[in-house]
Amino acid sequence: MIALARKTLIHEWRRFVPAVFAVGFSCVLLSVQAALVLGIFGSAAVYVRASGADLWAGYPGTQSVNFGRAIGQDVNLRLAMDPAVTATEPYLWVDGDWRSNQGSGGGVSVYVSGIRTAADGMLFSRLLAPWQRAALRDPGAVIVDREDLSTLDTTVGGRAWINAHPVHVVAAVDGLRGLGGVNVITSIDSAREIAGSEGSAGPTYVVARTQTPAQAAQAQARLAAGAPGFGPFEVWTAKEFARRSQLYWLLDTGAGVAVLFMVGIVCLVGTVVTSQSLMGVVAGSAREYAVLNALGVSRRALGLLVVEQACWIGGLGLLLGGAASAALLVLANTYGVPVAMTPLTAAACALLVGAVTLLSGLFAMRGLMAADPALLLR
Amino acid sequence: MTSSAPRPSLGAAGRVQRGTPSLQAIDLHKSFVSGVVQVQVLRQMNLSIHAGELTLISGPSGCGKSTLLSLLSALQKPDSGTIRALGKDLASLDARALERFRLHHTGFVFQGFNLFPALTSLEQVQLPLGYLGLSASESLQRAQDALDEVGLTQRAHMRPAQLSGGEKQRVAIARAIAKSPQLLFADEPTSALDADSGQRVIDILHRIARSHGTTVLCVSHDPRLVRHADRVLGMEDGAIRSDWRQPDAEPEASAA
Repeated sequence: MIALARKTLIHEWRRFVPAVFAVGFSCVLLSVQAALVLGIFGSAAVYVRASGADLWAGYPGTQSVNFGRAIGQDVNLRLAMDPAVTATEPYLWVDGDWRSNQGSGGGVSVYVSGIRTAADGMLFSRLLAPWQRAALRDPGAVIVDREDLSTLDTTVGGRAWINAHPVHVVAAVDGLRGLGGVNVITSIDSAREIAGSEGSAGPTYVVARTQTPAQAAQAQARLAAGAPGFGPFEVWTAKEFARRSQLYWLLDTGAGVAVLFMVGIVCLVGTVVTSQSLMGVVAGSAREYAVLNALGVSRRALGLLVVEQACWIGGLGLLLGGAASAALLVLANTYGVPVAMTPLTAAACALLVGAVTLLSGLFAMRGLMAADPALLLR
Repeated sequence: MTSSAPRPSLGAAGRVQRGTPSLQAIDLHKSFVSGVVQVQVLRQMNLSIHAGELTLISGPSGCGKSTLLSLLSALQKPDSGTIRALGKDLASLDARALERFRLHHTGFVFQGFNLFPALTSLEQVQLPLGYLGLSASESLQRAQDALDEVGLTQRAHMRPAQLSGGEKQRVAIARAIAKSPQLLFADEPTSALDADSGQRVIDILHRIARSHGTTVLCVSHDPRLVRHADRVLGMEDGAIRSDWRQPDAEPEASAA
């Protein structure tokens, strides 16, 4: 059998370039949008993902990490009583007002995370080096994201005030940027100082490590079953709590809905552009296909021919779009733009673009075959 | 011939044609809707075409000759009437069966050559053969034979952009005859060609009819074709007005 689709693609490559670019364009739009959504809303759960805890206990009904309220001191004890739990530690969350001593501008809203500074601390264990954690033991020592230094109008070694308490920046790290405010990490003692009288109410969360991560769900179920005399509190597995925080920002806030709407529009535009380009390519060969049909080549066989052509275009477009997306995401990451990509998301994007290409090809074929072959031959 | 019932065709000399016609139209009607107006293109058309002849349907533009060709070649279905091709009633066949019929029994040559720009002459001819289920070697042999028959062996590895109009049309003819069809339809095959190329195409079509016993039905308003056809049917206003046969033309008694 003569490989018509492949030979045509090679010989008339100029005619196919717009369609390949359209698929690639669609791929870039889709994957970058997905990476931005994952990145932006993933940062809502940076506290959970950057920590090594398996369980999080907080005030019942907390929608997102940043909406935590004080829970009783005894919650720590209740978690420690569970047979699967090997370690617990408190997490104090304080809303603060940052004022740099360098500038004359107004304050910056910050989220202060008061954590345990011991070397085996769970909170932000994936983000902080041992020396950084140790440096936090100095009263008033704070760590911020490198990209936030300019926002806070400070530098490493710089001094400032949070809620009128003096602080100094001992280190800057990558990957601490949050959603809604600037994250500042400090020791739990410094956080209590900053919180003032509110700090004595109790921790905002208690996090715990189980013997193995697989035991977290069972421990959570046991703790959720009720604990008379303790509380009030609610326990989530780390995965659950991260997801809960992200979904809140994505679905229950105006910003999230706006971004989702934008993603939808981008996908639609990409689909239409791809579809139109591919239909143009098929329409360009309409007369030749009609001759083949007149010679007895079935419409099904012609459909397979168009699908094969669409697959070639889709494959090339995906390669092009994949390479461009990877380059853009690396660039975005370099400049601190919150982007994240998982193999599953990348595969889903590729699958969606592939499906759009295929459907466009079939749609183009359907339009072509609906036409009277006798009229096409005039 | 415009009689209301099927019957053997009558030549100019009044000879009765014997043998079963390979292509027969009986009481054909076809109309199209143009806007709100229904245009009757063919009216009670009766026609018998025999194998081994180059039959030409001639007439002015819009007289319905291309419509007649598309009906007889199973590209379209009539509103009413019967078309018998090679003994089969085409109206009784569904779309798939019609495609199979065309694949196995018919060849087409069109005014616009409609060749694939990416394929060489040899590949253009091989392409439909692949759908017949022939092996690569068999389809290659048949394609080479067909190109040889139209005198294009030397151009077998050239693409359409490297060929003249006449050569392109000869490739299209080779593509049509490589399947060894019993019915060969040509719609204005010489209209886009110069005199020499047109003459060559006519000669090839004529030779195919004579040497292969193929039923060649050609639709054209090109006057150059008239003196080369074995039989000329004059068409006007959706009906056959004249039926003229070359004095020396003898159709094969044993039609396909």
